[in-house]
Order: sequence, then structure tokens, then C-alpha cells
Amino acid sequence: MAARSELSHRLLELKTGAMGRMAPKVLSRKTDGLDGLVKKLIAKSPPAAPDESLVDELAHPDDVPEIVTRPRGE
Amino acid sequence: MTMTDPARPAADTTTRTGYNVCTICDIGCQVRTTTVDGEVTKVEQHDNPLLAKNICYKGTAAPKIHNHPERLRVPLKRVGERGEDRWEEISYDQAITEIAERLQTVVDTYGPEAFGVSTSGWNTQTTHGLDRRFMNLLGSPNWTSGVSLCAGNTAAVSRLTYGWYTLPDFDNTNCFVLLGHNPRKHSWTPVYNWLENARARGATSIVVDPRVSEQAEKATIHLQIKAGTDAALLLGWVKVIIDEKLYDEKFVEEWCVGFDDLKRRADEYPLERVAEICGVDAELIARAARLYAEADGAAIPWTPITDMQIDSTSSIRLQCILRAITGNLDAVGGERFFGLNPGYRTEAELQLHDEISPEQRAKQMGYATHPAYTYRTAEMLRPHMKRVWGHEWIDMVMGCHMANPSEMFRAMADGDPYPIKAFFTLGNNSLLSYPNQHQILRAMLNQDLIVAHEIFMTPTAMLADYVMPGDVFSERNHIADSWAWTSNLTLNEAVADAPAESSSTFRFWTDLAHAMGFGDRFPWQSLEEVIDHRLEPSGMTFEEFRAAKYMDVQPPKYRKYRTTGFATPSGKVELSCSILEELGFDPLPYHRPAPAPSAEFPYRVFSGVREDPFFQTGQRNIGVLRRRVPAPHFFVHPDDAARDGLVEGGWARLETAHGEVRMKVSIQDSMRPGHIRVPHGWWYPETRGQTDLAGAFLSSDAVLTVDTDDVLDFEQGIPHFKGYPGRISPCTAPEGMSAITLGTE
Repeated sequence: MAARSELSHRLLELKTGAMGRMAPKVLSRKTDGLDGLVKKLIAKSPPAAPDESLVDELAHPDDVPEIVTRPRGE
Repeated sequence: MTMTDPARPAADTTTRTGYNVCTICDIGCQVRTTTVDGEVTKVEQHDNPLLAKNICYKGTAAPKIHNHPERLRVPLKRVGERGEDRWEEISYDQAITEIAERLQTVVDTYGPEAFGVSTSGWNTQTTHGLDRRFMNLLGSPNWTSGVSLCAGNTAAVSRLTYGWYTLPDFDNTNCFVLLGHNPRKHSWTPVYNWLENARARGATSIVVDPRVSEQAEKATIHLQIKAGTDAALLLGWVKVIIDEKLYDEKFVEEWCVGFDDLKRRADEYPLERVAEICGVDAELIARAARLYAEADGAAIPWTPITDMQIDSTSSIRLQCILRAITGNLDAVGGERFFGLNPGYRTEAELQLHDEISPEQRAKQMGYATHPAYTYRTAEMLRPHMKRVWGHEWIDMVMGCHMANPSEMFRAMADGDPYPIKAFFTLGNNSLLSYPNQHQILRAMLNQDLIVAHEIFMTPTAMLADYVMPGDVFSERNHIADSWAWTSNLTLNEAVADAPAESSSTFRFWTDLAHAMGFGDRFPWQSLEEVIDHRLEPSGMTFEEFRAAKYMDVQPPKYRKYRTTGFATPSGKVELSCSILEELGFDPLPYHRPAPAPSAEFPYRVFSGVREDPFFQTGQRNIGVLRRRVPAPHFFVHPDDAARDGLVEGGWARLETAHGEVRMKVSIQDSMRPGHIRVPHGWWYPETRGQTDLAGAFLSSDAVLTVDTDDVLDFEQGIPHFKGYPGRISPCTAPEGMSAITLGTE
């Protein structure tokens, strides 16, 4: 990091600043206009959709009994 | 009569979908919740592409939690002896009335400082600072939380160095350092995703961990240190970086004070000495320091590991110092100072810290002895916070003006230095959440009044006089602000009905204030009203926010210090800390050896470790989660297991000089020999009524540690959980274990 020049700082800040101004568009609930366009662009670039393995890992079986207090003496 | 409405949606006979901030753990993932007939049926990934990956299997188990058959639904009043776990159901109004009367009696008898609170904002979420507001108006400074030894203390100590608390610029970083921290797909999920994305971009990583963790397996460099020696390692890094002139000379010259003093301190830690302390090759330490310092944007994400060590303050400050001298502070790819969201009033503003007198603030536990995160340092930082951030009181991660929990429990148990006789615990299984569990039990048995606010009966709640049923994230409207760690605001919508008399901590504190005669200072009658008040600077109401966005994200601004300076007494990064010096502590970081292993206790034990299915002491009663880890396990190296006669899956007893617990054994090549890893927060909810306090003393790591001054971090009074002496031997299972625990289900 000691090697980053002032010019490099400024260029990186310009780039991330531009990206940062897009974030509110993606995180709004509007789906038309600029917000809608930005959402469509983001959806096309990874990492957009959750991967299949994650879907499997997130699932829970329906037939697992809940853990409850055992009646006294059981 | 209570003043607030329960604030629940109208009875619903249709399918509804809403957006939530999951509070099953503390990371706050954004999820989507579906309800049918007012009951939660599904929690799934957000449908916004930026947020979709931020979910784990604890989050998707939320319907099992929210609809659990043993969820508390009505207020309970103790009818047997304290801890006997016998109750009568009473009305909410009766509970509030009686609690108010009994709390007033304690205040009249012992003074307002005799009232203590322990809470977990992650679990309760909707307090909006009203707990502190209530306490400040009453006159008690004795509020504490689990964040006193996890993240909140990091925030407070970071402020002593550069007046704020950072979060990595994950999207742009080229190198990250994990000090024992091990984000996984199902624990700290958003951080895990950020790290995976960074690696995919080519970022390097350095992992410091006595175990070959999941993150260590992927690391560019893994430093397998002896547990609890992080501060020494980081002092070695500082020495390498200074000696080899790898630091940002311009930033240090313009924006740091105390560099020469730091250099002298680092000179006390030549690599040979550091290698000896840490048990890692000196050249590997130097290589790691170079990799970090030379990266064009590097980050050291928060870690719980250095929050819980005998030299925690030094370890945290060394991370701050490394960020600063390498030029990574508030820089692209380094670590950001998010600042506050200008559209949302802070919790600290609602907490009214000017309402409690300076004399009462000075009675806060820890203020005189271990002041690093108490009111004492917050008072010293007030003008500097105001100058840079516009507010005198800023409560980052809830951790910047807390009471010290060990001193609180000592006062509760022994009246030293004065008695605390009323204790409220909200969303916080206090008995198992701090060190010296035996002292906490004595403390609770010595109370005149205990109130628990919970969604399930816990060992702590079993010790209460009143148990108030809490709500969950699907049942309340909220805007989450990450407690000022970031400036992001995230929507949380009520989509389900809270069952029976279950309700929010907002409602509890508001109604209690009305019952005690200062309800005029609690003017909001619903959660939506208090959120509207907090959103007022934005010009939006909660309904308008909800209609417009999932999150409010402020555009990034870097290197803000160039116009504001830093919120420290010098206005610069204090490598040598003037506040610590004024308080009589060493202003420079140091390594302090922990109690060493001995012939009697030959192992280094590290505890407080989180497991994927659980958050802290929770979720052991959730079938789909518990069955992923049915029983607690010690991790031991194969050589150690062979020497001590331990077998895979067998039971073992771990003893320290202070206590013993029993767990099963997991033999792991990944462990550093001579070390034992202990998971945090185990109890057995299914054994309620058959074992004492549902097995709270059988496997809880809090039994193993003490909090006497000789093992506390000097500045914060934080206990040492990472590398304390212990011994292990085979044993039988504790009496009363269930089939699921024994593996015979």
C-alpha cells in the first residue's frame, strides 16, 4: 500500500464512487427507468443467482421432530 | 393500563411475502419471508441479486423457530423457589405493574445504580435505544451486553486509536487477514461471500489460527500460532514493516502521532522472540507481514478471537495500527469509515446520555478499573466525536459506553463495591454468556428482582421472577442500521402475527416507563412511530421507506480525514494512545503472556467457538438445526487423543483450575498439538426438569473460565478465552442425556 500514488488513490476513488452511486438503484424497489436498467445489468453479471449446491444446503427436511421438554420422569 | 399497542398486523387469511433482516444470528442477512394465514411458512433468499447469497441454513430454519411449540406466548411469574422453574401465567398488564413496583422498591432501597441490564441487540433488534433511555432517566449506568467481549469492545478500542470503527472495503481489497476468524458458508455468511468474491478476483489471504480451519485451507499463508499469542505476532509484523520501510511514510508523517514510540516498542519484539512466543517460523511471519503491507489495498476484518484475550486491547489496537501505518485507513481496498447515515437518528440520540448525571455515570461498573469501553472513555472522546462526526454520543455496535460484566456480576453476588439487586436480561442467556458461570449463578440467586425477556425458556430465564415473551423478526416492522458499524439502512417488515402476548422490547421499555411515572419521555405508541421519528431527517416515513427501497446505501467517500481529521484528542491516528496514557495505562501495545500450561494442566484450551447450526447459546431446541450437531465436541489432535486415551465420539471431561465440563471427542488432524477447541454455549433444553437448569453446567464453556483480575485484560477487563491451561480425560456421558445427544435416537 505504501506504493499507491495520489493519482492512483484518486482514480480508484473515482471508479468506486461511480459504482457506489449505482448501489442505491439496485437496492430500490423501482423496476423501471434507470433503477430497472441497473438491476437488469447486475442480474446478468455474477455473482447474481444463488448456486444449486447452496439451495440444497439451505433446505431442511419436513419430517424432523421438534425438540421439546421431555415430560418429567420419562 | 399499558400505553402501547402490540403493533401486530391484522389477522391474515392469505399468503403474504415480505422482506426481513434475519436475527437468528448477529450478521443481519436480508431475506424474504412468506406467511400463510399469518404464520411463517418459508424464509428464503432475497430476490434482489446483490443480496441473494446472504442466507444460511439457520435463516431458512426460522419458521421452525418462530412456530416452535414451546415458544413463550404469555408472561410468566415465578411461584417456586428461584431456579425451580415453576410458574403461573399472568397478564401482560399485571406483569408490567408488578415489575414496576418491585423495581421501584430496589431503586428506593439501594439507589438507581442497583439496577443492571444485560441484553443482546442482535436478538431483540427493536429496542431503539430505549433500554438505555429508561436507565438514564432512572439514573443507572449499569447496562452491559455480550458485545462487551465480541465486536462492541473492538469498536470502543478502535475509537481510542482513530476515533471510529472500520469495516473492510471488501469489494476492492487485494489482501485480507483473518486472525482466528473463520467465516463459513453458514456462519458470518455475507463476510464469507465477500471473502470468496475477493479470492475470485485474485486477492491473497493470511490466516492466523492454531487450527487448520476452512479459511486456513484456502489461505496464501497460514500461521498456526499458539492460541492467545496474536498480540506478539502483530508486534512482529509492525517491526518487519517498520524495519523494511514497508509503511506509508507520507500518511504516517501527516496523520499519525507516536511513531517513534511505536518503533521503540516494536524493537522489543525481534522476530526470533516472536517466533518463540507464537511457535511459528520467523521467516513465515516476515513473509506474511510483507504480503499484507505490500498489497494495494489490504484489510483485517473484525475477529472475535482478539476480543477475548488477556491482552485484547493491545491486540485490537495493533490491528488498528497496522491499518494506519500501511495507509489502508479509509482508502479504497482498505478499511472504510462509513460514518453515520444522515437520514436516520442514531440510537445514542434516543438514549439520552446527558440525562444521567456525571456522578451516576462514574458509578458504572468498570469506570474506575477497566474503563476502555465504559462511559469514562466515551466522555473523553465527546468533543472529538462532535468535531468530526457531529454527535457527542455515538454508540457503535452498542459497545462504547458499557458496564463491565464481570464487575456487574461481582456486585450482584457480593455487593462489591455496591449492591446490584435488580437484573433484567433481554434476548440474552446471561448465565452462559460471560465467564465465571458459577459467579453469575450466585449473582442471580442474590437478586431481589430478575426479569427475562425471551422467546424460549432458557437456563437464565429459569432463574427469573418474571419471564416476558418476546417477538421475532417476522412479527415486527423495523429499519436496521447495523448499530452504526455501517451507514446502511435495511428494511424489515412485519408479515406475521406475534402469538398471544408476545411483544417487542420497545413495548416492554415503553410500558415500564409509563408504569414508573416517566412515560412522558416515551412519546411513541408504536414501533412505526419511533421509526418515523428516527427517519425524520430523511424526510421519509417508515411506510415511504418500505415502498421505496430494500436498503438505503450511502455513496462511498474515502479519506474523509483530510477535511475533518480523526476524532481523537490529537486529531490524528494515535499510535501511542493519549487516552490510555491519561487513564494510567501503557499507551503502546504490548504482549502479555497468558497463564502457561503446566504438568497438571498441559493443554492450551480455546473456547467461545461458534458452530454453524447455532448462534451463541440458542437453537439447541430446533430439531433441524440440532440434528446437524446433536452434541458438543472437543476438537483434539490425534497424538493428544492417543496419549490421553480419547476415542472418536467418546465422552471426555475437560478440567481447568476453575471448573469442568463434559463433551464428546472429535479427533482432528487440523488441530495444533497441545490445543483443545471448545464450542460455546451448550445446554440441553430437552432435559428441562430432569437436569439442573436444563444442563446449564454440564457442557457450557463459561464454567471453565474465571474473571479474577490476574486473567483480565487490564484496560477492558476482558477475560482470556483463547489459550488457558486445561487437562482432558475420558469419562462417561452426563446423567440425563437425551437420545439425540447420545446418538441413539
